[in-house]
Amino acid sequence: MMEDMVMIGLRNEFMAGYKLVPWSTWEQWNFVRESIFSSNPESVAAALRRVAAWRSRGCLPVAIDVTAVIVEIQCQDPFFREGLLDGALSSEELLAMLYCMAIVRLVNVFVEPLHKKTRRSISELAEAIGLPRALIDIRHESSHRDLPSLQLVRLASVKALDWLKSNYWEPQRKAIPDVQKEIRCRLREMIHYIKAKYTQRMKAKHNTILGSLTSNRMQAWFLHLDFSEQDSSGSRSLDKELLSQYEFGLMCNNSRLLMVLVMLNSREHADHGFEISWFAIVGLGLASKGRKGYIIDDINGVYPEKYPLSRCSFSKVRLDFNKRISKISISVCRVYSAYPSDVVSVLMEIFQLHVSDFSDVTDKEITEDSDVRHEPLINSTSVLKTIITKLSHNRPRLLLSMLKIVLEMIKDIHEKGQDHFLSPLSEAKVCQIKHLSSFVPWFLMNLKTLKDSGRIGLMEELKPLASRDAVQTVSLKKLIRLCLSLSAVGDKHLPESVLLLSDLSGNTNLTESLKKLPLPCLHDRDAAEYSCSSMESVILQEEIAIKKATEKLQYLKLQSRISNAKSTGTEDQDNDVAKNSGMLAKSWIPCPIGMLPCSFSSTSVLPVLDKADDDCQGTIIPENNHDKFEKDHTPREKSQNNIQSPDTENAIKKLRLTTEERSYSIDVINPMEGRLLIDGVWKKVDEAEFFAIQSNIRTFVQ
Amino acid sequence: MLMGENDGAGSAPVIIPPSWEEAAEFIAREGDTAPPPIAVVCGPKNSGKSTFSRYLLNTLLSRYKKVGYLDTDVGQPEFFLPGCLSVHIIDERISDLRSWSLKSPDRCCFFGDVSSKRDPQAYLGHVRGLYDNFLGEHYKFYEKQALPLIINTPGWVKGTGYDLLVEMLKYISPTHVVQVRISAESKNLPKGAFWLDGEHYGSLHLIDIYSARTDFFNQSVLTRKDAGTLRDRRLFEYFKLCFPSDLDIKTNKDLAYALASLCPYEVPFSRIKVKHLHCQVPNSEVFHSLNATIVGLAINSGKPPSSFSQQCVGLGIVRGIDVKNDRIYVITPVPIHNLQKVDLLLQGLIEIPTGFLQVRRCLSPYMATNVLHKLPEKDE
Repeated sequence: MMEDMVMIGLRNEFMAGYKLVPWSTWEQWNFVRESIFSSNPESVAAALRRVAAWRSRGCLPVAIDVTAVIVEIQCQDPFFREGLLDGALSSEELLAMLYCMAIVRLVNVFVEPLHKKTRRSISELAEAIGLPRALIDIRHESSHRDLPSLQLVRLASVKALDWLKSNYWEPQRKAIPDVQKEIRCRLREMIHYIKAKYTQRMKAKHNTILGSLTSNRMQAWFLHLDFSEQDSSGSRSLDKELLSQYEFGLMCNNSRLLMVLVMLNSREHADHGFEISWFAIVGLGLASKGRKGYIIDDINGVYPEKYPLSRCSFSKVRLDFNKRISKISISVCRVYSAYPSDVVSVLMEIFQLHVSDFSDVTDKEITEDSDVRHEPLINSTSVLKTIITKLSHNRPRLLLSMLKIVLEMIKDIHEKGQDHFLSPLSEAKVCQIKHLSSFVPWFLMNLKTLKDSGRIGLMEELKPLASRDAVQTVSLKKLIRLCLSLSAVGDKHLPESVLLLSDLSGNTNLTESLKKLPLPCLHDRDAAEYSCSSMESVILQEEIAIKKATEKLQYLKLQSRISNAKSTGTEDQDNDVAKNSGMLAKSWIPCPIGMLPCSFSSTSVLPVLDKADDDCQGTIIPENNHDKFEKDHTPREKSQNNIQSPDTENAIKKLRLTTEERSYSIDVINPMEGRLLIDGVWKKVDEAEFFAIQSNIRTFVQ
Repeated sequence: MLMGENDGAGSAPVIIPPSWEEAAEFIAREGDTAPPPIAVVCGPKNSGKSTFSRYLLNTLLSRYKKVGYLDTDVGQPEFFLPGCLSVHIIDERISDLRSWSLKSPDRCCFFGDVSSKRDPQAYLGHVRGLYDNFLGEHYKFYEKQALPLIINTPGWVKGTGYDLLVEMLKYISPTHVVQVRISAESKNLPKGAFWLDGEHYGSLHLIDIYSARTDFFNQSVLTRKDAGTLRDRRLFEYFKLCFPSDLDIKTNKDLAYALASLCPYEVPFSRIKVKHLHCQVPNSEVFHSLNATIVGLAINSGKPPSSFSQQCVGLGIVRGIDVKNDRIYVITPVPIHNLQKVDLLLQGLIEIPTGFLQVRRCLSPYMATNVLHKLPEKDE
């Protein structure tokens, strides 16, 4: 009874439709839920700050508002925070007043609307929604009589929070639509079927090789194969006998005869026969494709109780997995329309899992219900690719989103690596980048297919107001720039992608000039690996390193030219800020309000709204990075760094280091920024300076 | 849904009773012998203040080329947007007395809420500022160009609302005060010059009129309005100005999609100050607070943002924020030359209409399903 009323109090506000909320993702809501009740004052403060921001947006659910108010008062109460010195309210009177006000609000907010509607008394209604009587009394006392004591209201505040927890926070947590789980489930199913299909195809191939048999023979063979797999022990002779009968039937290509045989046998050999018969049906289905459904129906009629259609029997899947796969893919597409980002992130999750196969990255968070990992990895990559192809066929935007996310992740890993730019990226990271970037050319191939079929259009730079048709667009220019800037990371896939892209653009000039670019990653990274075996090899390596460095400089130079030549897009901010202020964005695509368009395609991104710490923004970055580098150095590198002091090491080593340092600096920083590390300071370098440095390096060699 | 609908709920024709005509004529005639009138229209809500103000405006326009109009009703403004106080210089008769039409203000302040109750001091500051500005710009006797001024007031006439009205009237010291009274006496303002403590009247004219529509028992029929929907419609109308008038925008959905597609202005965040008018927002959370909300675009010109002197050039939607690149993207119909002067964003509590966010294929992330929601009735 009581619970029923709670439902009335809260659940009838449960809207099926969309509501304006102050958070942009449920993760944010969850963050507040977890932090606001945390025992760590820091997390509580963070949650309260976030609620303050939400409050200013005007659509904050009252339950959150009241929770935050009570928690905030408790934060000021020395009773709840031991050792609280500053920020505590010493006046008990004031504290009591604050608690009272919060409790009055709580009661009014949840009971008043009901009171207005039903005209029943406040205490009656409060009881009905399970609101502790103590809270009602405090409301009454503080409105009409003396101020209740601090001890009382303090206790009540705890009760109030408990009530809010069980009447808002918990029910809401449970009500959050778990789209990802749903998607994960469907995708897993899809993976399952696709894998099954692969296995089948491989088997079929295998059988063909075994003997150039007639099609009927082949099917019989196939039966054999499956059958022997199934076969466990004693019943072999029986099965063999049965099988030969089927083989006979098959050879006669008489489905009716086979049918009869199946029925007879199944009846005779109650349990076991069924299994075998089933395989026979499969063979039969193959033999007479048109009548497949009819035969299955027949069998179902014979064994209604024995034959569970839902069972994912190996052979049954084979009959209709194509249908199934497309069915699931349609349903996933439907989900994608409503929750694009969730589908993409689940797909990425699967990507991630595969990364972990490559390397020993162990910091992956795997939710308990994602057992994707434990499935055998038969062609896992190609399974993924199949999924993406299938999905993007219906929803071309998916491909763009995936491409975007992959590129962004590469960029991310890459940028994080910059924090300690002199040490190479860790093995795991390199592996991850390699894995991720290997997908990029493949994405682009698909992009091309989709473009050719008119499902994805190219973005026209001079058309700010996008047309209303559904065709997704992509800006090749921006994509090329992105790939180019990332190609410094050190994998051949990205430069490859650049070439693919230029092909796609159909701009032959561009293709030619790009081909001339000595894209740095086409060179073997290992050549730069330091090995101290002999003086000679050191010198040799130096030369290679220097060569590399010059090439990279050349490349950098060209890039700066390219980027100058086509400096468009929203990301060119290095111009005069004042001049730019309040200008129309240079290009735009339809994207939901509150989100940002992706820089190269018509997908949208949820912006990161956390304010970066002020002290690591803008021009301070270089020094900051430098400091970090000093701190984060491994001992080996530290010693190398010390080499720079003149009294320790010989000149050759010193030379080596500087060049290596330079090559790294090019390697790791975003070349688009046109900066170089010179004397420990990141400097903007223009073309003339590039030349100067280049010739300097040459003189060093000679 | 979007256009051409009446402000009032009823579709009954506008009745202008003879007493209203007389009152308006009286005020208009005054200017012949004295300086142009400064008329304050006050009375309880839904009594017909707006309708009379418009009628008076038309009457004055038959004698003056231009008429000033100071709108202090932040909940249901006459010519501009909710949350704004504005001065308009009007030179055209209003053809339909019932419908609301958007007119760009001569000067405007963004108060940021639909009721003055959250910050009476700031509200009064805005009224005074706008009034002084009008006097300085348009009420110069020596230039023979003084314009008459109509001041529309909010219908909040009890408690703090009454105190505010008294303060306003004291400051303005109008030549005419028109009280619209309704049959329910207890809801009316006190009779007479209630804001003056029985002092001298001076040249003040007090005019009492009665609400135009009465029922069979001679009780006032108040035109009830759904304030929330009206506000949303005004915002729709305003943001429609972002698009050329020939663009085919018929429904809310059309507009919402057009807004999502519109190429926004980009503003470097570092150059801009943000002021939260009615909430305290920690500095680290500013972006969480701003994204996908409606803000007032103001020119502060270097003054400390605490002063009331800010001039609002219009409203905008913060449609996205790129923290990394120090950019915020704003949609606004404000012309670019004005926008470039904007250096202060004012965030109030003017909620973005959900219609702006709910677009096919472009659903805003701030729209969620399965929300346990429980909001108190916060509208008046």
